[in-house]
Amino acid sequence: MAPEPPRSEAHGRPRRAPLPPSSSLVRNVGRRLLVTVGLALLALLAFTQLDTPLSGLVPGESGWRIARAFFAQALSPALDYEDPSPGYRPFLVKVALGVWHTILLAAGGMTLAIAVGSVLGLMGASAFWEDREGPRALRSLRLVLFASVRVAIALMRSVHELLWAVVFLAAFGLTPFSAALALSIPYAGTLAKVFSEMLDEEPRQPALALRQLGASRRCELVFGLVPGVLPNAVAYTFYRFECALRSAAVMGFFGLPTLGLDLKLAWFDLHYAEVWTYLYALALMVVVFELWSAGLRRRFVV
Amino acid sequence: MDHTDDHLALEARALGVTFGSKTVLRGVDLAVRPGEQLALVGPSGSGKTTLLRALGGALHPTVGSVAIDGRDPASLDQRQLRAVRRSIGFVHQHLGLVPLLRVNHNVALGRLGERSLVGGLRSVFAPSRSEVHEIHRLLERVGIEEKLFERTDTLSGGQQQRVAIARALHQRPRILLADEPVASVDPARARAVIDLLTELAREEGLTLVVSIHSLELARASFDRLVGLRAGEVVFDRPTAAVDTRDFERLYQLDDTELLSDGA
Ligand SMILES: Nc1ncnc2c1ncn2[C@@H]1O[C@H](COP(=O)(O)OP(=O)(O)O)[C@@H](O)[C@H]1O
Repeated sequence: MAPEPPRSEAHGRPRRAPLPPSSSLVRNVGRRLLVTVGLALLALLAFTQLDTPLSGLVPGESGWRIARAFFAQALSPALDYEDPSPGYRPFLVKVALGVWHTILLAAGGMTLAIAVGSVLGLMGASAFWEDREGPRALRSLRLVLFASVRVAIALMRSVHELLWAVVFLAAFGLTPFSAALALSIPYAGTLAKVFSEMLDEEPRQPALALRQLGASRRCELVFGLVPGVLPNAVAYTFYRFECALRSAAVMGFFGLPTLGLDLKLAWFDLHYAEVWTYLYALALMVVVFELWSAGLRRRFVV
Repeated sequence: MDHTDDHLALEARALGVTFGSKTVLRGVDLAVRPGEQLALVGPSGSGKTTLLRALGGALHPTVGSVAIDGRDPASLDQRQLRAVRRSIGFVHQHLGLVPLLRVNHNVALGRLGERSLVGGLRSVFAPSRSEVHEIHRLLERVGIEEKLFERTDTLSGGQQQRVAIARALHQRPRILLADEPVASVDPARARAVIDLLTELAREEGLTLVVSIHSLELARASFDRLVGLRAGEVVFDRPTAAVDTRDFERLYQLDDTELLSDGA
């Protein structure tokens, strides 16, 4: 049993890590140089492997024309359809609905991601598994479980939500739920990774003090460890929500009724003023969300 | 109280603790009666913290045994061990408070040992009126009632010390262990903190063991002193019977640590 906190903690005075001997400093410089050169070579290789020569980045004549037409509208976003037909809902209502569906999709995906990410984040923290008793077999099993949680988190993060979306849309068809699910998988993984890293960096003393007064393991973690990471975890979650808003908009390209779909259709119709309206709506949404979450965070943390 | 006279609150028998190859405690015998108050004195590094932790069931001795209210923590299962720990209030040297929680919440956590996760959450987010009253009274008792709803990390070291004491009392323990409770308090206030601990223990009928490295303070406030040096008990006597020879033995000048800790 007997959790042994590191000596420096038990004594209440932190110990400073000794400076590495100078020879290892020299070696570090050498290693850093090696890494830098390696990365530069990698970048060069990447460029040579790209099929298009750099001159391909310069647009052709028609490209210039489209670009000019498009940017010419930047300061005059549409407030109504560029070619209205009777029976359409008012243009601004359509924009608002696009925003609304984007928010709904992001919120749905984030709700799932927060639920799964919090649980996995706690289970991915080493404090969750340390100092547990039991027969040797049980302890080995725990090690395996711990490793599996970490691997699962890494796998969830390694596939982009748009790829998940392609897979899910193929498998389950085009439903808001499949899109939210696609969004939630990498987001849950990222939240879990960041949460568990935050938990691992928290001082253990409060949790150990709660253990000493007889608290259960669950209570020890929830009350001794989690409060310390909560402000940062909440701030990070808000940031991820903002990313989810952008991602949810892009998922419209697959046909979901978010801003991305409106944007795509307006673009294909060459209605650049409408495209600008949607872009501004997207930007406004993110900015308003940012302001609102900053306000919440301030209230929460202070 | 269900203590009979011959029953001991705390007992260490031939206690030895070794970390790796380092022997920190050796052949320690100690018997503490219910309601008794004593101070562990000795230079830093002499094993006071380790002894308190062993007495509190926080670490198992390498050899020998400990008995808390007659029960050896090494022989208990997890559930029984938690029950024993509930009966011991521990004021850690590093306090072990949760910095971002408010003072009232930290004190409420003193009862976490008897609560489930849901019960604990309720005690923080929707505490009962009576518990809030109790916490307020406790904070009054330790002299910081105006800090009830402050965030704990905004308090000074001395105030946090009092929060930790209040939390230990809220736990309603039978035994109170305090590890260097004045280490982070300025000397002028140290006496007040020690007096607070001894008074509270007396009022509540608690057994109190405090480790202190200031001999002066220990002598002024405790009737029984246990001197520890390099992991061994060098004396265990009523304060009146402790003489200068004992102190010399405790802080022998060949002890290089004396220089750094200046007791
Ligand atoms: N968990 C541990 N691992 C290794 N050494 C330890 C550990 N705990 C204590 N020690 C050592 O035991 C000795 C006594 O420590 P401690 O009990 O904290 O003494 P005190 O409280 O009197 O200062 C110290 O030399 C310390 O380095």
